[in-house]
Amino acid sequence: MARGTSVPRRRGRTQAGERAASGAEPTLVFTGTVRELGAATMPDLPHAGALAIVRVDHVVSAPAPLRGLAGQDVTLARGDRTRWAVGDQFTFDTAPWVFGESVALRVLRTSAIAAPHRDAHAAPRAHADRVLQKHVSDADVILSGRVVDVRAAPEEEPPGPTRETRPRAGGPVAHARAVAAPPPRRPISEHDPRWRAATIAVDDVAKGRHGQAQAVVRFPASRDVAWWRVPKLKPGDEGVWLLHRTEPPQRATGGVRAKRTLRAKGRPAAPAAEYQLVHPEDFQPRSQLATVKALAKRSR
Amino acid sequence: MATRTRRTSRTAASTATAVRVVNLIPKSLSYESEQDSEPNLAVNPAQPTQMAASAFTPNPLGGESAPIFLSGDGGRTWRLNASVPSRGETQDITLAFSGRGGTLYAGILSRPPGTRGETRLRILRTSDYRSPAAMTVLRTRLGPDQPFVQAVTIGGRDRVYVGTNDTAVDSRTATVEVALSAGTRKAFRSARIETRATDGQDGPQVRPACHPDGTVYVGYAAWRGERGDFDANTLVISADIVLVRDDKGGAGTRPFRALVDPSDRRAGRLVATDVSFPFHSSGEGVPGQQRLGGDLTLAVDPRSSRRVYLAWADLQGDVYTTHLRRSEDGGATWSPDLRVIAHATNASLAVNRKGHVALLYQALEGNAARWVTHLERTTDGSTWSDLVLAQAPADDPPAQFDPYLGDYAHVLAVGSTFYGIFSASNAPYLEHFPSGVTYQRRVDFANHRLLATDGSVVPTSIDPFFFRVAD
Repeated sequence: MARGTSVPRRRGRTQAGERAASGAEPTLVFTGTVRELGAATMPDLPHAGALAIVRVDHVVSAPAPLRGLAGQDVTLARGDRTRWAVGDQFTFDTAPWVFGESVALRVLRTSAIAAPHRDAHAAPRAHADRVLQKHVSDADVILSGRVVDVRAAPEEEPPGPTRETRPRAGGPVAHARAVAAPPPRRPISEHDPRWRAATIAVDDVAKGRHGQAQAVVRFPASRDVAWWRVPKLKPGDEGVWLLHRTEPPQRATGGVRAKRTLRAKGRPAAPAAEYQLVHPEDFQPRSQLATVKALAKRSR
Repeated sequence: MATRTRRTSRTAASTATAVRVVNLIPKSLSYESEQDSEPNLAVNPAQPTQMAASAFTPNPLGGESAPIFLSGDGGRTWRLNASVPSRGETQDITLAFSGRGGTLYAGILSRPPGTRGETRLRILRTSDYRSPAAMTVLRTRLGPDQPFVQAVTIGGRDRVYVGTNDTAVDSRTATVEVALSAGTRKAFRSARIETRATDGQDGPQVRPACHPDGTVYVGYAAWRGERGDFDANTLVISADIVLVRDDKGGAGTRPFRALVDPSDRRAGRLVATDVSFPFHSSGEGVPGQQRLGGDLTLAVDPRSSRRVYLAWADLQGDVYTTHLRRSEDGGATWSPDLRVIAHATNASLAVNRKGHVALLYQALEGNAARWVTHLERTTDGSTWSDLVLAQAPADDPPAQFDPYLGDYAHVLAVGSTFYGIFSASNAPYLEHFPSGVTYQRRVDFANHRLLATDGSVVPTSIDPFFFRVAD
């Protein structure tokens, strides 16, 4: 650790617009003690406001792996005007900045320490609750129920007739002629979501309005990097769904061939989905229903 | 009791050629077991100790920004800096420094995607690659895939080229986002470079390469036919490998028309015709867990913009095979295959200031048991030396998502030195890295364990590895 590493002076002006675009949200909250001002735990950090070394006394809210920061020194870039002195203790609300030999964080808010924290599992739980709270707030409708059917979403409907393989004929000129008027279809992509539609038998509505006994929910079957974290549903799944209203499906990407396969199996497309799963947190176990309802109440 | 070890191993051969291989995951993230695949690398040509790298690495704390890796000491150490405006992580991402001035550009598919699932291209810029501030968004479009950014500085202005497979347009999807002075938000325009009818699309690789004299090449695969089924993971594409060129940097109303094929007088030289390659929807059930969907890479000789190298992959029988060819006349005529490599993917090419060529690729070897990362080099195109950078298991760890290793790896040259990046299993066995390796994250090579900062054992995962090879 480069304790006492000198902090570089800011040179020149920051480009207009560059700083305004940052939309970081508070993600790591801890109580800590200021150890050294104008210093960093890593060398060569760029200018980002006044720096300080702070010992993490207790992690209040963080993803589970980062609760191990307790007892370690981190570098904080001060984003507020709170006066700090060595030995001061605060609750720090921070956003990520640099992960290297050590950790550097940007301070979003500083506040007085409210109460001592003792529960070792409280930090990841608090973080999970904060994340869930955000998704509950963002959801248009929250339902609980059971998946009764999964099939291809209407977005997978091919706009043109199914084509057979078109082997290449002759050289490039002849071939260009051969494919001069292909039936229209959307390009396929490795990021194709491969939409599926799940029909859910609804037994409770925790947020929003949904008057029907069933709901049709779109989700991506793809395990591409773009989609793998979004829950994949199957008949029999029970739980709580945090749902986002869909837009008209006619310009959804890809998936033409997916429909062909399902059609061959005699599986027609589902009705148009009203809702869509977007985030990993959009499917919660049924045991979370009371928590989700409480968070939904709070978000109103 | 857990032992903290940080070891470097160098073979005699690697010492002789001055090879450096470094696992990019920093010590403070020793707990992580993400699939950090599909890496890319940028080296500042004006200050080659400054580097930026990317992979499918999430922001450890989530939030509204995604991270990139930074090094200020020539790749010896790396940090993660959350400066990319994409929610928590990116999808595809590539990076390039300007020729002068140290401006870093990025082409990314950002999160969240469009409301109907469309990819969301963003072209980004920062004047300080280490800044914690979000990079400035220069351009946003829905639909493009695999943004691949290259930059060159001419007359004090940064010219930036982002090759994309633009699925938002019908049929002729090969596209280059061009900016001849990339400092402003309205600098970019979309150049459609496909002049022929296609089987619905091109791509997915659309790769630019630029030269300081203003010449820009773009290579892509033009789809001509298909068989099989995407959802059943049996789709096979037949395609032509096409190269276009612009001698004025892409300026003018009809850019990238300088290279015409004699067979049909259309812009775009057909370097290889009627090749076929699989286009997988998933790596599940595919040997090595790696989905395949074509490969294409090109590099131009910094000593002469007329000498250009192009590599692609196709099926030879049922064997996925990489081919490398060379043109000495700006793409008009081509050599026969200089290299043919079976079971190889993620090919990437670079040419250094001596005209020496480096070909990076990852081959599935040992009866599909290992992904072996090779860096082959040549001074004349006929005699090649092979440096094995990694020979890691192909089944450990199991894939979390697609792509397992990534749809690309990357090599580039600054001066006479080759720099590159690849992703591989981080299973801690020194014999997996015959050219030596340094792990920044906590590792116990003696007992083959990855360790978190608190000493607990961490499962094997895919990590990005930087390399530097002096030539």
